[in-house]
Amino acid sequence: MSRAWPVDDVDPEAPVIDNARRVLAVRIAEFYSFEPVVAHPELSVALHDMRISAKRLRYTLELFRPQFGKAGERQIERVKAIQEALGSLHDHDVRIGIIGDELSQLMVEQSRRMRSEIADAAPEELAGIAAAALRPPPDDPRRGLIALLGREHAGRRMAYARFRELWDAYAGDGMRRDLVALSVSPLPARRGNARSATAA
Amino acid sequence: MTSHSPQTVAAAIDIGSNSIKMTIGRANGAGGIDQVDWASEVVRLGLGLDRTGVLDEERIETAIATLTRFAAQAREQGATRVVAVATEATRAAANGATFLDRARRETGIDVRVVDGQAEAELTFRGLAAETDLTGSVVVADIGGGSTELIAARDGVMTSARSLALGSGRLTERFVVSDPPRPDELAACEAESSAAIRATRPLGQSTGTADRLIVVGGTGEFMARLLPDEQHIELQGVCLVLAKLATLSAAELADEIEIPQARARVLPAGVAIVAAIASWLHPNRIEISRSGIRTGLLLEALYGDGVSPGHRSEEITGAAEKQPRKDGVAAKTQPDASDGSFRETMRALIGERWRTVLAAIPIALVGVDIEGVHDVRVASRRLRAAMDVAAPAFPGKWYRPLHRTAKEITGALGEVRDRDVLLDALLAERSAAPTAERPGIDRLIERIERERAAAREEMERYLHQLLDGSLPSELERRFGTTDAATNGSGTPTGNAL
Repeated sequence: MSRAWPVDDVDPEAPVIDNARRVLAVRIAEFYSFEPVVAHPELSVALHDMRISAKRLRYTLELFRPQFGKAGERQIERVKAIQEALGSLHDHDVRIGIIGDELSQLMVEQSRRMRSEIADAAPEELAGIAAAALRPPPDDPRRGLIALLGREHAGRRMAYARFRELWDAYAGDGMRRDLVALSVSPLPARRGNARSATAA
Repeated sequence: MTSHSPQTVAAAIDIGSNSIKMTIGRANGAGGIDQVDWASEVVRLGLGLDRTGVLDEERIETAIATLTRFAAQAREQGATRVVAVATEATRAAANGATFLDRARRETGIDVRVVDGQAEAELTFRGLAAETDLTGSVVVADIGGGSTELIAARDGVMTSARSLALGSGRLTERFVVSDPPRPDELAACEAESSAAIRATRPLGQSTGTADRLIVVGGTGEFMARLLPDEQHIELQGVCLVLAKLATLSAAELADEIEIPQARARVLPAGVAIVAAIASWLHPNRIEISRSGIRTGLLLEALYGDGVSPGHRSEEITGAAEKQPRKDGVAAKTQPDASDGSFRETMRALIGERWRTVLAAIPIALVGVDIEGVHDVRVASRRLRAAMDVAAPAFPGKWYRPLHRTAKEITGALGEVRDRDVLLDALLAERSAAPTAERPGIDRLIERIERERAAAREEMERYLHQLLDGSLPSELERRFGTTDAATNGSGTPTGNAL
């Protein structure tokens, strides 16, 4: 799991809002550092790290809710949706790993049993052992595990498609721009109007 | 347990999305409350909140006026303490803190914003004091902006969930007509059912609760439309819902003697009851008038058994009331107006530690898989705050607790992962053809074995944590009687 990027310039004596913006700026940068992996569904570990980073970003927004106000709420919703989409992808990855391991273990056990049976078998029994090995009975546990594995892979493909759809939609809506706007201190009001300043 | 003398009178105020209610009571010496007086005002503080994200200025004015009246009434009745909580509308609104500041300044009432968990705990405490909770019970507290669902077994709360479902909220979204059209009420019920299905609250499944107890105004007013309040079944709730589609708000208000504004949102509240009852299929449905205000009074008069961070306030007149300087514990969020980052974060981290500690016993009970999840989420939120605040505190003072927060998340991870996986596998199994089941069963058996081992490990760790020095360390560092600070709440750096 990737470590959180440190926030070096927290000032304990400064008002909360100042520090909230500093922390948020780092969390946004950390989150968007994963942007290059978005297009690569095969990068399970990096996508998982991106999810953790999204979680840190969301918790920061929630932590400073009163400071970021309504604009922060909208960002919480977006980050949460992305985090959950990545979470669903990760759940499939975890299950695929576990089911795959179980299947491998089962096949090793079956193979070991078959070898032992062959070693002890009389010559006339060998054909039966081979037939059973090549045509497993209806209740062979591999059947269920293989079916599960197939469904998990299909579910993962759908989960990734949902994540991409969400990512692209939010990117189009200016999610990054809106997040950055929250992390930036408002500029002091300028004196006079912009037009006359330009003209001068 | 500390308690006040039987003469002590206290007032408990609940600022909801629909109404502001007050109960004034005194300790009866037997662990209960004798009610002295009560008041209720339909303020609709949450009106328009979903649309605008803020509390409406006019609603805030009405709420402040109501609180001013309530404070005067409480004083007239001899109340020397007022405890007040605000729920969904205030916690969700961007200007909730502004409203609370005004309430404190203008009425002298220091309002605590409670999260869904604390709201559920207070409600349950109030209910448990006056109701026999033997057996498997689900409590539904239906408010204007949120619904708290609490599962309990033999009087022990096993889990709680707050859903963003409320009678006011649903009315705003779906009910246009007066009387409400059947399809509008069906939409309210469908939305409620969908929310319940989506969140799978309490890990509860159909038919597993003996009783559904509905607390709050929705239950009380719904009962007035039923022939027999003692024997309520799902069918009766559905009949009430059908009847509500024939009554205008004015007619309903007249029939059951409630304000018209309250009558307007009642049908959506009953639709929520119908959805919960359809999901649970309890053996019976009951109504209770005890709830969050009774819980608050018990907390104020008998001691702080529910929310360790809560402190009540003495009543003073608005003019002589000063905004509290140390009131950070009364908030659930840091606020720029609290002062420096260090002080705000210190209070917030204290609150988050309390949430973690309060959730651990439920995880240890092990009835509801969400109990473990709740501790994990609470510990993650705590870590988020501790990560951010680390530079503000001396490392020696801070680091061991920071490390413990991380360990808690980790200690529960193995159990949680297997809980989720088992849930998914059981669902797969029930939908799978027979030929696939032996393989799925094999995997389920393996995960159950792993889960049992992980749970044993987790329980050992959590017991060790609770029985060790952590609670006192937390009290020292973040509690109200902090011996480890230099008096201003700032850590001295050598507290360890």
